[in-house]
Amino acid sequence: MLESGKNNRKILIIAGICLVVLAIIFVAIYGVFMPRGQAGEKTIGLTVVFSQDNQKEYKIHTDAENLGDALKEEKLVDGTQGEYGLYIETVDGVTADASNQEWWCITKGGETLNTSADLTPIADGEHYELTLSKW
Amino acid sequence: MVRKKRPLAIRDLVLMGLFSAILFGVQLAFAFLPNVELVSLLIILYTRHLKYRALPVIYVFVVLEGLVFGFGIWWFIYLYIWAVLFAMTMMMQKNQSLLGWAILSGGFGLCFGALGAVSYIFLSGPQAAFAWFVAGIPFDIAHGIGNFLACLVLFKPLDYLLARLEHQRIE
Repeated sequence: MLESGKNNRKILIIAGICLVVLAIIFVAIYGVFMPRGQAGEKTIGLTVVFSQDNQKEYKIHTDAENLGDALKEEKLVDGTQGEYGLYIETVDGVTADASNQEWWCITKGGETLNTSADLTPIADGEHYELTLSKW
Repeated sequence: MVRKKRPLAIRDLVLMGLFSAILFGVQLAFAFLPNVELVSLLIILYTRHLKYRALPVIYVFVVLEGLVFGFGIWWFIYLYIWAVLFAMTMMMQKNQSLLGWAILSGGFGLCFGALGAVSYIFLSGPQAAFAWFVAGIPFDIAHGIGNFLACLVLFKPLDYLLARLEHQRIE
């Protein structure tokens, strides 16, 4: 009985150490591979597609290093803060109607992004699209 | 003494529906706090008390999430990620230590992004999966810490509540 209690404590200590080591490894991976935006002033293009025949073009001059900050600076987007940063609900005053399965899809040069706007680093000359889509 | 397996009674079905609704409600209630969620803790507790009957509770919650928020890529992650937590909890059924449950919950939060990235390997390729995982690491670390602390604080009172419910069900 006493032996089993000792073993359990040993397992817990090992599991706790593994958890901390894993967290340190993750921090190290992030330090090496984290997405870095280009520092300094830059200009990016943005197309907002409200519908097939209603689009707006923007040129954004910004010092921000990620797309989310650049769009927020211009007061172009609004939404709720989620686990992975801003979840865009409104673009240029137009709110996606979730009850109608609408959402704002972010693409870069036509290619779907796997990161939220806040986690998307930007560089000078890039072009992004925000399209009101249906799931 | 061998306890006979009882068939699902109406009371069980109602309770399971209620547990799914609680999962969904808690998820919505904490949605405004990034990286703080009680879904992991509740799934650990449900699995501990309901055993395999926790699976329908989890999947009703997953379907509800899809119906309300849409069936995006994240939803396909939900299809397996909560089952991983269920399986881990089933393997730890004999654990009586609060710290053990907190380590499980914290570890799950920490690995949430890594587990989610698995689906991106098939959908967008290994490079995109890795980029997605790396971008989410700060959130995963906060998720892990949040889960660990939430479990330390809330596990015992919620475990006691569910044990009382279980006791009433057997009576």
